[in-house]
Amino acid sequence: MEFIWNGIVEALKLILAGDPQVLDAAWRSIWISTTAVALAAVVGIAIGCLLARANFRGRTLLIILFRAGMGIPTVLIGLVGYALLSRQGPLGMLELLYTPVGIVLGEFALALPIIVSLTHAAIANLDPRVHETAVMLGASPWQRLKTYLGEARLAITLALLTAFARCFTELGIAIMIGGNIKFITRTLATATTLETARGNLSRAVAMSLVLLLMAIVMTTVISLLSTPRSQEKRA
Amino acid sequence: MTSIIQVTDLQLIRGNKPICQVPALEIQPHHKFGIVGTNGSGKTTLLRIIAGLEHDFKGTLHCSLPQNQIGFVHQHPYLFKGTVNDNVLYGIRSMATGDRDTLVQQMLESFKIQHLTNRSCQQLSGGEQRRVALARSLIRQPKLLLLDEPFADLDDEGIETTCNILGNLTQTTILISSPTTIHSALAIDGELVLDSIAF
Repeated sequence: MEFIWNGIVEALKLILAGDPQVLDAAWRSIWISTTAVALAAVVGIAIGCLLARANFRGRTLLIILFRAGMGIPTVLIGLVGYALLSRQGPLGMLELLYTPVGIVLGEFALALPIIVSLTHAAIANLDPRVHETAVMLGASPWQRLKTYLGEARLAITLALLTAFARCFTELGIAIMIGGNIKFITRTLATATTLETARGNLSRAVAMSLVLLLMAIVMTTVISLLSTPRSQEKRA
Repeated sequence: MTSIIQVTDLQLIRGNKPICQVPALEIQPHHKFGIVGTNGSGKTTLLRIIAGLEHDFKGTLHCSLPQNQIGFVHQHPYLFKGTVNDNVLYGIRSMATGDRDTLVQQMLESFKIQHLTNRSCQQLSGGEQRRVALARSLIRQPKLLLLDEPFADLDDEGIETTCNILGNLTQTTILISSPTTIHSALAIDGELVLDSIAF
């Protein structure tokens, strides 16, 4: 147990001293996840609303596919991403393999089904009077969409946070598409794996402590947002 | 006078069960019309059909107005998240800012709820919510107003205020309420009594 304790002490020293490798990986993890979730939010919220409010052929199949996509293993996304972005792959000419942008694309694919499915559920489960009231008050289709999003904003915020949490802590995509290149594509999760394999426990613990801290912050925010009391205050 | 609503042999069936049956109904413009009846007699369903919220009915319904000129207030009104001001403003957002703010204030004053302007709708009592919903619908000046139990949850003052406002309206109004309230509070021009449907 002593080496774990020593690892934690060393880790705190690294964090407090502003170790460049820890800070670099932390910053990259944050911006990659944020960018991926922001892009997935734009596309995913639109698709989620469409699936919830429009009737068209194949709608149920799409809903099932997106729901199934919520549990897709990150290594599978990483593998498919690798195959697509590698030199021999159909998107090889973009030269995005082993780049942060490549990881963003992979995490976009991870976040999209989460945001689509949770947005769809949030909008589809709105009180039917929301739609009826908006219609009877002469709302245009655009105004109605804004109303749905406004009424479901808490659930959609939770969807975005859930997607962010999944992207921030994922390993498979960052390793397989990013390649874990120091100061270029290394994230907190890939750095933790590498440092542990190297036997550099203090640095690995430092990386995971930052990951843990972020996870605690996100879980706290999700819990606070999802309590009925906060819903009342925000309403 | 050309009637604003004309109904012939209207019937709505859900799962082999008739939930609304109206053999004939005709309502003239500017009239105040009451619908009374026992629970389950189809009063709310009839109002929803007239509002254009139910489509799978049999028979004929002729309404001379498009849906955007009809105001409908649910039995349990839904107020959007936000303040009373946000809600009352909802249907007149396309108006110029100064005009619409003045209109909202006038409407809230007429319902004696101007002190609630910036209050969150989730903090309102049932009666206050109903008055906000009525104000929100009336501010659009619909030519046909459909009110499902507008006096429920209201205290004596609320009933009096609402009756005064409804009494001064020139637009056609169809409301569901108990016979006692309808006859004592409003001078109505016509009434439809729906019986509970046997099946």
